[in-house]
Amino acid sequence: MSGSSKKTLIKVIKYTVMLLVLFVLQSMVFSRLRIMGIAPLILPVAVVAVALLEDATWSGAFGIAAGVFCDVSYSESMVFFTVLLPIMGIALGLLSEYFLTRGLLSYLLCCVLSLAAIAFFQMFAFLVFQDVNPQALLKTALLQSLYSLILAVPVYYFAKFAGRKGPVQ
Amino acid sequence: MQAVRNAIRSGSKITVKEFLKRRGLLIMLIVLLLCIITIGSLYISGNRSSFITGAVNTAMHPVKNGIKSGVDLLESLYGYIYEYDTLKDENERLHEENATLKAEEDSAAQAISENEELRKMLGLSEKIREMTKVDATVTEWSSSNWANAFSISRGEADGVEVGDPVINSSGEVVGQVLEVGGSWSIVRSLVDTSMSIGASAGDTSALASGDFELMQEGLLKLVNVPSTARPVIGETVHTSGAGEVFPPELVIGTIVSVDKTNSGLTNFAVIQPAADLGNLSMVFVITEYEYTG
Repeated sequence: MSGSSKKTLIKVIKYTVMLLVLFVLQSMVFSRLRIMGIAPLILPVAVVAVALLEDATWSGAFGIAAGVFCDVSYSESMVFFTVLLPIMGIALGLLSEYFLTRGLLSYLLCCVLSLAAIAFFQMFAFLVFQDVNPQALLKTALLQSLYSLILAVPVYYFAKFAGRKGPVQ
Repeated sequence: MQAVRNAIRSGSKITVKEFLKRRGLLIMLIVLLLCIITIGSLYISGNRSSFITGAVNTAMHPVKNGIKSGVDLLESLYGYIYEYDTLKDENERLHEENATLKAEEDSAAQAISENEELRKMLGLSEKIREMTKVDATVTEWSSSNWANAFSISRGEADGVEVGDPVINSSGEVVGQVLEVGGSWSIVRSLVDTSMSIGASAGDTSALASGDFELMQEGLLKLVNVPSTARPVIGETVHTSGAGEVFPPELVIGTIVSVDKTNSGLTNFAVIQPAADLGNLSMVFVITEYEYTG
């Protein structure tokens, strides 16, 4: 096996382990550690981290895997995150490759936008098909996003440890 | 590739053709994969879980069980070390409650015997409710903030089907099976927004239904209550058996408040579930039932 193939394989293994650890944290630990009844979204912010640290290929592939596990932890039969997270990963990966300055600040900004987009899609069905008070939906969306943002910082450094440590060469 | 990036960062133009030439195949492959996943899931899902999430659920099921066992062990150790006195007091209270329940059981046995004699005298047919139940362990709760569901350790192999009612050890309603795998199932809890059960409170027939705001507080609504009916606070709400999904006379909860809808034509009530949904560890799936009465 060549040197670069070996490095790629090691990185795949590291990201897989990271994915499984974050899945367990999201589905079995933080689902019990709710703040005001709200649990955080950890896998989507991990996709943003990979997008900011790697390129669109890695973030798209990681997004598919993270999306599947996210749907499993949400006990959903729909493929909401399976479709959304790879699209998000590719888009942010391309942005980070060509436009953004990579760093923690850019990452947090991308997390805010991603979490807002996810919350919007989650609220959409309730707004359109059910007679739900929009304030209750917004409160849930805000708390979910804030809690996820707090955990986004350690997730970023976890992803940095697992993958590339510098800008794309 | 680096030349392209440098060109963009320095403000030089990069043509769409160049961009697609370098990245088009990748993007097309990923979009194609997403389409296959979406279409395949929608085509195959039906009453079963989507094949991707189903496969992952099946693979992760033993891992989740293992982790849950570890978490339960840690919780019991924590309880033994830090909550010994509380557990001791609760144990004494349960002993006293058990003694009271045994006395009530003797009275109930006499009442049943008297009921049977009176039925014979008056020529009334006996109410029969027979249920086939499958016991299951609650393995994990959904981490969703927009729904309320949990996973259990039984599935298609144990006779569980989508739509089966789920109760606790006291016979109180806790939810309904939403999705089934080989050896696991997802149960939509009683307070989930998509939940809807035929209910009766006293002589009033209505619908026990989930509500998003109430779900956050662990409550649900009794809707379609006629304006002429006045549900009473403290009244117990039972399943009515309408729709023949849930057996009748299962306890749903207790009415904690009553109000009029905006139209003023109907009332609605807020129900506190009888089952302690936050501390479920063992549930029973009703796979079949027979009721005559």
